[in-house]
Amino acid sequence: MLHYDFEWSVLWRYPYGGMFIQGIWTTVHLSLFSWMIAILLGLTVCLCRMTPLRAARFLGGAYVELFRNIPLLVQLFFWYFAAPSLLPRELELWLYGNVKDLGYLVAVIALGTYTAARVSEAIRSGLLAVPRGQYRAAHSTGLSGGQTYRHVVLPYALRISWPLLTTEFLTCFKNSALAMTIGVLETTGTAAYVDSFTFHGLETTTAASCVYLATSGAVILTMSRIEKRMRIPGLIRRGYN
Amino acid sequence: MTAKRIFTSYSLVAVLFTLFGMSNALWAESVLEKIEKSGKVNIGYREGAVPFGYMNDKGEWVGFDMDLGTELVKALEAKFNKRIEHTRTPMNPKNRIPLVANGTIDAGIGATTITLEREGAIDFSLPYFLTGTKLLVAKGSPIRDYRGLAGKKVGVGSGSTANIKGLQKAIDSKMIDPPCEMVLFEDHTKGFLGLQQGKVDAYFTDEAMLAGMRAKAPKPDDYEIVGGFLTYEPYGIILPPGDSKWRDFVNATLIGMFKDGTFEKTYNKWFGPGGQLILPMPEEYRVMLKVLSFPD
Repeated sequence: MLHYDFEWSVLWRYPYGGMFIQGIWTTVHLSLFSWMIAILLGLTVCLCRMTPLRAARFLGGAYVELFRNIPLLVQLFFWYFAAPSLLPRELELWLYGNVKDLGYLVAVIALGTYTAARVSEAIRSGLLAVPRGQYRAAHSTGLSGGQTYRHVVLPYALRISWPLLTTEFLTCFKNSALAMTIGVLETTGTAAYVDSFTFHGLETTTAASCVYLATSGAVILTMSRIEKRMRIPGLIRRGYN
Repeated sequence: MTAKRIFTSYSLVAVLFTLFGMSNALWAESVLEKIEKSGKVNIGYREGAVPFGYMNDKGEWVGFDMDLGTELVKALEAKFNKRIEHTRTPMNPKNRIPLVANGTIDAGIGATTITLEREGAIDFSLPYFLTGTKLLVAKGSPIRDYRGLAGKKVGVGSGSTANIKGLQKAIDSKMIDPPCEMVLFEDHTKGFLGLQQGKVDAYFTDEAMLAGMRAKAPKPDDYEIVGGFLTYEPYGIILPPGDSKWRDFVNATLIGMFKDGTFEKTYNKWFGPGGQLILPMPEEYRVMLKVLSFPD
């Protein structure tokens, strides 16, 4: 008596098919917007940590530790439920009344600021991996500080950080699934939502897994192609692939 | 990583999943026979639905549904003439149907609306509770009924599919025009927080749930329940599909309680004067119980 009838048509039949397409599209732009914030903010934070200014270094470090050490789910709840009530009451109500999709906006901000801390560390590790001798050699040929970074250090550092950044992007992409907890219907949220109407959770979850696998696979391929094309012979050698 | 390597690892995973998927389809005996043999019954209850199943001030897990479950266990003990161990498993709107469908629990008593779509996955007992959907708003809100929702934000529980469908129908039939925006919340507790903060202008679900949410608020008088019933929500006990012996037993137990007054006594304990939640039995509910009091 206890058996499960697979019914894959829940993935495309009306109205669920449209929901899935919309969910996948939401995952894509949600993670891309967050990634943009993460790169810009992460680079800024990283540069703060590398400057000779003590206050900037402290702020950068504090940012990284704060955002990296609190679970993303807790940060999402903070931004969605607690942060707005810290604003003046009028502003808070304006926010609720005029922002079309608060959950989505909060998800982009939370995911972006969280990933920024991790991106900052990835870039910093690349910068630190460039041998001191390179800095000195660049200086001795008469390059200024900015020129040293632009022409010598950053091209090395970004190549070193590249695989790390790939991983961070994939993490950001998959972390977007947590947005379902604040009512954003992205891929995983849609899978759970369709499940609650049809009781075909195995199909919907499998579909969601395939979407993540396929997208991640495509991203890894593209990134490793780029990495190979950008390789400077004799500079960095990693594995045998 | 090359394309070939990614492809290889993915296909390996696919093969594993296929093997895993083949080991399903269990043929099981009636739950009733299983209970007799093992001397145990596992029933699922809600944890955050006042007063159906919730934690009281002393931290005890109690509720109206749990009292019904206890009566069911008593009936089992009388039938088999031995002690039956009553295991209580927590369940929520998201997992209650899978838990029964996959056999983790033998029955789920947790304010569950009987719907035809759900009947496709599991079976239901006869209805034992009747409520309907209404709106919870802040006191003095301009929203007095469903028409007042036009263009406003309304909170709903993301697992409460019967509610979502009812609201969608009202939007489609232009009863709420321009349409309201539905904001999904993981559970009613978070939804009520959203209403308190002003994230949504109203919260929409079964009246019995709304009354429970209101009762738990720091100042219940700041909120009011408005509107007529948009849809009727009959609650049933979730039972495993295709097990008529077990279902007949549960139904017979319920009917017995309807007839000998045990049910009304239990109802009044929770919803009557001095109960957790004052909710006088609506006339339709009274009629429903009378209709269901089948003769022996």
